[in-house]
Amino acid sequence: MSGNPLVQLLDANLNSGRNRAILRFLLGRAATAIRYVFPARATACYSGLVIGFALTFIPIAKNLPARFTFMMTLAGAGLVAVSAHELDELQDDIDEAKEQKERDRQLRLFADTEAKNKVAETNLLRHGYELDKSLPPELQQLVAPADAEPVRAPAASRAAFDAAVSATQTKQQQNERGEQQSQQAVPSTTVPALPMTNTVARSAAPFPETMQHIAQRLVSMTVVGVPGAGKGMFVSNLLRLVRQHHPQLHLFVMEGKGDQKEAGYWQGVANDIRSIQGLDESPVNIVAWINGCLEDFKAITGPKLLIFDEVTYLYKVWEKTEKESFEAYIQYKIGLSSMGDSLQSFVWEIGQVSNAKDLGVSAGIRSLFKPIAIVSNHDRRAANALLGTQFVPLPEDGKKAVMQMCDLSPCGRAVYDYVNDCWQPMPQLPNLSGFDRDTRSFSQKPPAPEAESQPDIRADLERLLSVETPEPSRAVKRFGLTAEQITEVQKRLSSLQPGAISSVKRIRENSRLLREQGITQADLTELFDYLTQTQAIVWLGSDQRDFKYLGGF
Amino acid sequence: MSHRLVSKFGYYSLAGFAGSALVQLAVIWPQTWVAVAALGVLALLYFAFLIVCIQGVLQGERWAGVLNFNVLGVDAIESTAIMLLFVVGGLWTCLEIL
Repeated sequence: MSGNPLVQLLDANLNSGRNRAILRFLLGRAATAIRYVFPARATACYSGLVIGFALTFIPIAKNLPARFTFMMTLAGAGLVAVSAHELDELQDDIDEAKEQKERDRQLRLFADTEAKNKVAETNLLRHGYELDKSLPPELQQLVAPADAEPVRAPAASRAAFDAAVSATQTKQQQNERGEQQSQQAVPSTTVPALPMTNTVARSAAPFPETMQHIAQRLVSMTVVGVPGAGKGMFVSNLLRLVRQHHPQLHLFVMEGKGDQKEAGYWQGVANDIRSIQGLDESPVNIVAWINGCLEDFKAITGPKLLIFDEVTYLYKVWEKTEKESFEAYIQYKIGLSSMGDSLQSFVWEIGQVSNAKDLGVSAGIRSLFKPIAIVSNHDRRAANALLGTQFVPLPEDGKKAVMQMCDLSPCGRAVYDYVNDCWQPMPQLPNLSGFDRDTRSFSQKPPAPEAESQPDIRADLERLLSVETPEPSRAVKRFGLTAEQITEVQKRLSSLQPGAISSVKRIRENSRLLREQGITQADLTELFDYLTQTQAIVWLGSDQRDFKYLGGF
Repeated sequence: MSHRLVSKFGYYSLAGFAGSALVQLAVIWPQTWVAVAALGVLALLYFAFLIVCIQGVLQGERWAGVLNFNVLGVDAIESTAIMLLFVVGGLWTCLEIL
């Protein structure tokens, strides 16, 4: 017998039935104990470990043949390696499960706290105090003041009361303003005393005051609204207020609709109005136009505000056509949102949808711009779609409350603003475009300048071109240019608003056709000379580079 | 106490199995004794180096502080344990089967 104690321990006579029974009993007890302490996976791992050690040690201790011992040692080592690895994995899983459990606990705690805060806030707003929730419900009712529950008048009498108040206030308003009502001023009391059924709206400042605040304290923002909701009307009114507060601010409007009926929104207030009929232009032209406008905007020194209208369509076209410049703009926009205050540069985006993806950005970047949302009860389906996004929060009562506010508004609209962080009925604002989209009719005073007084340059040019024989258009030469090139210049000029300042260089660079056909600024001189003679444009300097577009196209 | 500790012990015991298997291989194939002897010398050098380092650290020698020894990607204590297990496994097998 070996002197090694381990060998002595394992030197049992396995031929003895008694010894085998003892060994079987001990192994069984050990397995039961292991299974009791550890789950099945751990049992398997520990069993593998024990067997591996046994396979390795027993042949050596029993002085079995070297070849057999060697094979058994390798097999035992392999089993130990696998078991150890599995145990490691098991511990990883256990640790991960613990971490997950802790995370879930933290989330539950956070959700509970949020829910409790919300309940407390609701109670505070509804009852004027926070109920002590540690008290039993019976005691809570006892301590609650008798008028804790809002007393609601019957619907019919309440509506009649509201109507009477509205009528009285409107009458007072008309008396006060009389005939001297200025179109520049935003009416401060055109909203009747609306019954504030929503607790959130109750604490909000009146919307005209909010507009004053927005105009005074400029930030970059996104104005979103369903089609025909009145985004243009709101922004145009806001711009008049901005002009009052910031006379030196350069207002740069980029308008992608090109609708003459809405030109009045910007005329008389914006320093620079760039317009394009987005639907009629090719994507390449649209992108060239945007890039040209943005270059001009960036070149402006001093405080400036870019109003970018119809961004939903323009961004989509831009992103699909020239992603690089679009991403560069997004970066510029992000920079303005964070540093705009110190640089005195701001961007207002006006669009129809609020999905970050449709605006070409992530939700995080979208949130950098302050939100303003307008919905109308003329298109409840579109309004519901907008309210379904996470662009702006909903009141406690949800979409229904917003639609109720629309019904209460004299113009059938509700507006969310970032200042009050709540929805409220939209007051009646002056329509500066001269075209009422609700009734599809022009107002009595068309704001757009008279077109008749302008020379009909388009007809003049077309007449000049029409005398040519039906040769290919490229062969026609007038002013040293082909008909196609002249038409292109016409198109570029027609995208400008009367009074806008541009340059020959910009006209050329914004046109892909002129650039591709190698037309230089000098080549355009004769045509622009003709345009000055016909008073379509007027040169701003003797160098004949920059001009002011007088209209006519 | 967790499964991790047992797992580590299982991994380290592989060093003992390796030492044992090397000796068994040398019994079957005598030329392997050269490798056993070489590894034995390396183990001795390792322990000598370890002792010198420990003495240097105890005496506050600056050179000892910057010395770092690493075996199989583990730190000093673990690599020492691995070497020990390797030597013990080989020695015990030698004692048993020779």
